[in-house]
Amino acid sequence: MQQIFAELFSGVVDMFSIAGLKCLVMFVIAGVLIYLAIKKDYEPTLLLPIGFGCILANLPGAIDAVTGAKVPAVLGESGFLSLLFNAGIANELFPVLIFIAVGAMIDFSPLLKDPSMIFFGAAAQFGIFATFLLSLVLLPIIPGLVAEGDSDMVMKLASAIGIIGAADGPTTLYVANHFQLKDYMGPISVAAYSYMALVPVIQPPVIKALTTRKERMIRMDYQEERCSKTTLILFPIIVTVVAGIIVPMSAPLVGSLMFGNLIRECGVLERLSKTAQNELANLVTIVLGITVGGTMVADKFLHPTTALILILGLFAFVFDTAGGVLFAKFLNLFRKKKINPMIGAAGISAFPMSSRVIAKMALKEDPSNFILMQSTSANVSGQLGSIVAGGMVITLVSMLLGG
Amino acid sequence: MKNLIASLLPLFMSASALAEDIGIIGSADGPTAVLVAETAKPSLLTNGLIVTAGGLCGVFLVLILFFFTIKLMQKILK
Repeated sequence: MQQIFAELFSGVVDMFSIAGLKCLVMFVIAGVLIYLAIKKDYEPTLLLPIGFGCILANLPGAIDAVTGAKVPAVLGESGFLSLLFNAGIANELFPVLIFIAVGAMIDFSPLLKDPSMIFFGAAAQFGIFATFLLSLVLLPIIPGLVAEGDSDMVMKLASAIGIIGAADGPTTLYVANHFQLKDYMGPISVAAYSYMALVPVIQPPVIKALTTRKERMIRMDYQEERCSKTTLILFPIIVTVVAGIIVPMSAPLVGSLMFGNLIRECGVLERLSKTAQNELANLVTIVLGITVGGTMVADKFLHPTTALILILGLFAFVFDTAGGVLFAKFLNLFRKKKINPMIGAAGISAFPMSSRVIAKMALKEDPSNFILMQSTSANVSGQLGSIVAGGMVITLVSMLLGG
Repeated sequence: MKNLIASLLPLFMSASALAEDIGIIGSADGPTAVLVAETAKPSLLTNGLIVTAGGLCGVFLVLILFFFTIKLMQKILK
């Protein structure tokens, strides 16, 4: 009788153990994510599913009637979160689908009209590599984070942590998954998506610390070159071919991003374009978010590595912003027509939030200074830059590890 | 801090010089030397520098190519 009672209420019994306490901590973390999504409106489309997925992943296992063994309800072999993980993240499908949707949403015409802004998309990737190097130094020093002597794992984990700085969730997931970092997927994706949501909080103080008011008030002429329909159609095709030849590892992401963009620009697939921008984006976001949340299992998440990943991720993000601003300031040393250095900070991938934040900051300093088009150009360049950076990191690290 | 400095050493040293310096550090601070020897292998940081240099050059190279592609398209399709 007592055994039947214990089995029937095994979930309740579990909650009074150490493992149960860990689950409660995870419920609190999930609650914070859901709170940020609903109350603060921080990337609610992602943080809410991630938070709920986290709750599901930490519910106690159910007792199997036949074997008597405990089977996790959503994470077992046939649990739906495991199925979703294997179907969409383990094979890199969800990030690719997300990029088709993102491509259909992006308008490259500001960049095509003012291509000089493309270099900020490269400069704002400095933080990725700075954090990569810092992670290589820190990960082996702190005991217990990575198995002793496992330098391959250090390289892989450092790569994924660095990419967080690009503020590009799908690319971060793509890199982490490529290196089979399933145990670290939770903290890495939470860091990537949280910092994406925190662009309006993180970027302004970094920009203000690195620029003077005079610099932030620099006006920039916007000389619109004519951008033909043919250019808009050819651009995604040429970019795919060029990136695919030079960095083959970036082909899935660049290809899907540009495919989505071609659907948008071709003018004959309006129905598909709208589907990609709405239904596809929404569906994949729902399953991606809850699946990522499902990787936040207490045993793996409540670990010093998580704190380190969050700190290093923030470092990457800050240094990506700083890299872009400092690059703009460097260019200003040689230019007669100065660039507003805030534009450099828009070279990260968080589109369109970063460009809006920069344009807003410029308006705050000078209500008649409009730099939205320039910051949008830098921002879409950042989208390209972060994907290429992800592809380069995967290629080089795989090459050095002999994989 | 000491550990951090010790780990950064390989960034600036060749493998052989590192081996000698590990000995020197070891005479002053055993645990740090062990840490350096075991964790901050020069190959790891050398690889890190290769990825950093190669990655940044690669990103700039690809985006420079995009820049010229756009410029060329603007010229041709004017």
